Amino acid sequence: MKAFEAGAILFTIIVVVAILAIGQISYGNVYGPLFNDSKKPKFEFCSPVDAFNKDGHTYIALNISDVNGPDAYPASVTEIIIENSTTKITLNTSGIASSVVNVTKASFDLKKAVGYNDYSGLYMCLGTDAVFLLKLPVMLSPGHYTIYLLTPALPMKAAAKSSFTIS
Amino acid sequence: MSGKTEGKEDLENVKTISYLPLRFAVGWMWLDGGLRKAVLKPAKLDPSSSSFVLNKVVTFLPHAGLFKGPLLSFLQDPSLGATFLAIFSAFEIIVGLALIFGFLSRLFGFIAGGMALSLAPAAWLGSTCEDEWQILALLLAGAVSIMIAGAGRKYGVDEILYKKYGDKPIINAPLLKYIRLW
Repeated sequence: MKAFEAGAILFTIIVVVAILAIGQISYGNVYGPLFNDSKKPKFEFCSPVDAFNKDGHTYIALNISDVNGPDAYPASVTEIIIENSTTKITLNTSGIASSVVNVTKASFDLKKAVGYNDYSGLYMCLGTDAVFLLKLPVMLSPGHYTIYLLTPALPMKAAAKSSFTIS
Repeated sequence: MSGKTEGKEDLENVKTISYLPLRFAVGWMWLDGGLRKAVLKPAKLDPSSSSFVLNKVVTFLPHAGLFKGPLLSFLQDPSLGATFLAIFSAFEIIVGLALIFGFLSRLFGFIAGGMALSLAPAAWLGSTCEDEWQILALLLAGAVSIMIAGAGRKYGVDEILYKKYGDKPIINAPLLKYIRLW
């Protein structure tokens, strides 16, 4: 085999391996079930929810990120459910927007594509994260609570879930 | 006998000419990318603008894997990111023009292949189809094909260089002597 032919084959192998490997990692399109992480938004909690009572209200700090979904426009949290065995609180978009008292955006997010409003609730662009401090309209009794962040058109089981304790 | 040689030469020419569409397509993809940022909308390279291209990199982060750390360092230092983007845009323009005009097509095919691989952190993005991975795959395969074929040797600047200087290795050293400049 001539040197140039061996070189051509070597580079072809590199191309084939790169295409297959990156395709498998990105979409599973070589072996196993297919997936596409950029189809549906998915919120995740980046750290445990910090909650405390003060001046007749409960404050909760939600450090969240959108880790899946399309990159062209922001994803939103349009409903927040906080519950335990005796209590259930639901905040809709305007309830969420009126509860937000502070937003701390990620230092790496140059565009700061994070915010809240009456019709989207909380919103953020893919990949960024932020801490939303919410002042709930009620003061929760001491106890353990579960919190769900719901995204439009996605089922409850896809909601971001975490828990916190009010002492 | 001379007819056979002529036929073989024609075949070789046809093979090289057949890379012309690929040279243009791959070259234009890079040239377009560079022109959009550096010339048509310079705000894309301005860290203070909402159009700054580095903003887009934030969306790569969730599944960027090993590339997440380096990407974050660019994002946390916008001036570093802006410098990198300006250099990358210049490379896009130079590589694009070189491929279109068939200038040092082996060398620039190699560089274009490396640049195609730099899209890997975004390969998972594509809500309607496997967008970024497909772009990466075709740009990589196209660039490497151009490199292997020496696609500029027909209807390219390399044709002139080849006729004038013959086959020249990158450097006269073991292994590297087999890599031709054009």
